[in-house]
Amino acid sequence: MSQHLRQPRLRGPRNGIARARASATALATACAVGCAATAPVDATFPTPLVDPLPLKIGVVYGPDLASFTHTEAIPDEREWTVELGEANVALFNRVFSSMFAQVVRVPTPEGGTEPVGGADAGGDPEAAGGTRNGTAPPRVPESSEDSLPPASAAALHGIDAVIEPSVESYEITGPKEPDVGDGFYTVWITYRMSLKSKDGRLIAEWPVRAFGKSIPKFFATDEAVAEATTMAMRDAGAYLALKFASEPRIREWLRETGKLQQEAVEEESGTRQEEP
Amino acid sequence: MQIHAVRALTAVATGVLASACMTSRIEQERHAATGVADGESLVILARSYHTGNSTEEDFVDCLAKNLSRGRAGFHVYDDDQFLDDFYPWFEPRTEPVSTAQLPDILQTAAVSTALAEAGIRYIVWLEGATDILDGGGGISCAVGAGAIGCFGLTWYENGASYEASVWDLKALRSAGQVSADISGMSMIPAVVVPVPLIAPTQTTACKRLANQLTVFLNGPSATLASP
Repeated sequence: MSQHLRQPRLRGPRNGIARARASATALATACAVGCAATAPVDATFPTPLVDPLPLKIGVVYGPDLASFTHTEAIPDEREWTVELGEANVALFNRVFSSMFAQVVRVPTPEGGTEPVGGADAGGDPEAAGGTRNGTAPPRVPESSEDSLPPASAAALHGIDAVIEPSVESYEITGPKEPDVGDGFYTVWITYRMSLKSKDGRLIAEWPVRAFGKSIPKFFATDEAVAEATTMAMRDAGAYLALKFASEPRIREWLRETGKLQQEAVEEESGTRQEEP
Repeated sequence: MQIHAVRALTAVATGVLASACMTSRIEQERHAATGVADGESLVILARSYHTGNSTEEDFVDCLAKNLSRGRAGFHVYDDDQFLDDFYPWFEPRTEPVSTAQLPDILQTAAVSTALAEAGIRYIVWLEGATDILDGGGGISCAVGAGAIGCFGLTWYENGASYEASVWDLKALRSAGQVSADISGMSMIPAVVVPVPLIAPTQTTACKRLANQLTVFLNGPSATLASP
């Protein structure tokens, strides 16, 4: 069983006076410099309880994913900066490690600056393997329960395919936003997944659109934005963990490569939930 | 001056009476026999926001607290812990919408093993929320030399409507539903100082739903827990 990680859902603030004071101070400080705020997205996710597919997969985290930052001004509110690069890497490390029998991290093709060794899902802000807004040097964690093993040349030769997630879009609406606000912070994230064979041939490319929402908190709106983002990321991970093998092109590829029996693939797709 | 005092007293009295005045309706529908053996537990989950549901997490916590209270209380598995432990099967996107989907979930060996280890016999799905149905009035406040005073009356009507559907994971079927609908009027009369008189609709709904669920889960011979 994993440790308790879940962000509270649709919950009012369960915080102490200290947290309220800290948030109020942070808010006041933020507003003093133009009402901009940063949402601290937690990089801890539970381990999916799924049976792994018999595949050895290489994973590529491009700098766009590993250092993804979104800035958006919500009308009638403030400008939000959401940094979810570290959380992205932590999420996919957790999900892929459960989905596949073996996972190795492949250096990015952009010149090998991406460290091999995976991210720290325990929330280490620099463990994502990328740089934060291109300023901080990346640091590889010494060990972590969901750090991915280094991809040696031998290891790369044995892989069945390479998967690369990327962020296609991030959208946020505020609780009181004209026309669209419904009393909650709502976040939509669209990830684009790309699966290639070891020789670089594209096997499948598909979007994973995820949705999360959270109730506003009077003294901790930054937490509310972060929670909505975390819920959306969990949503994406859930979809990926349960729907991967039922993507039509992937199902076909699995059948072709003999990695999964026909009936197992059909069963796999039959048990999965449909995307809402 | 006397007229003002009488008006103020009338407003306060009306407020007290109104805040004490709540209407409630508790209903139960049973599909199958129930019972909780030693070592068995239950988990309370709010239905997905993907379907537009917005059951408050505080209400889930309140219900869990009331159901686990006392020596005869049930063992209630923490909902957040459950969602983490059984990720990704009960996420807003993936949660089962009918008991017909349970066999598919349980055929994953890791899930069925973990459920058995946790001793979870029932899932209680919650739908509903507490909303402000109506309201009106107003309060005016004025600041004078060294003093602040308010006068007026504002009111609003709250409705707490919740339904709990009980799934039996042992029998893989729905055991039934219990619902609670509570409405009440809250008032804030102000004669110099505003006095909020709040109708605790959500708390009342929580306690009454917990009482009825206790009866439902234990079977017809169970007695109501003290409120």
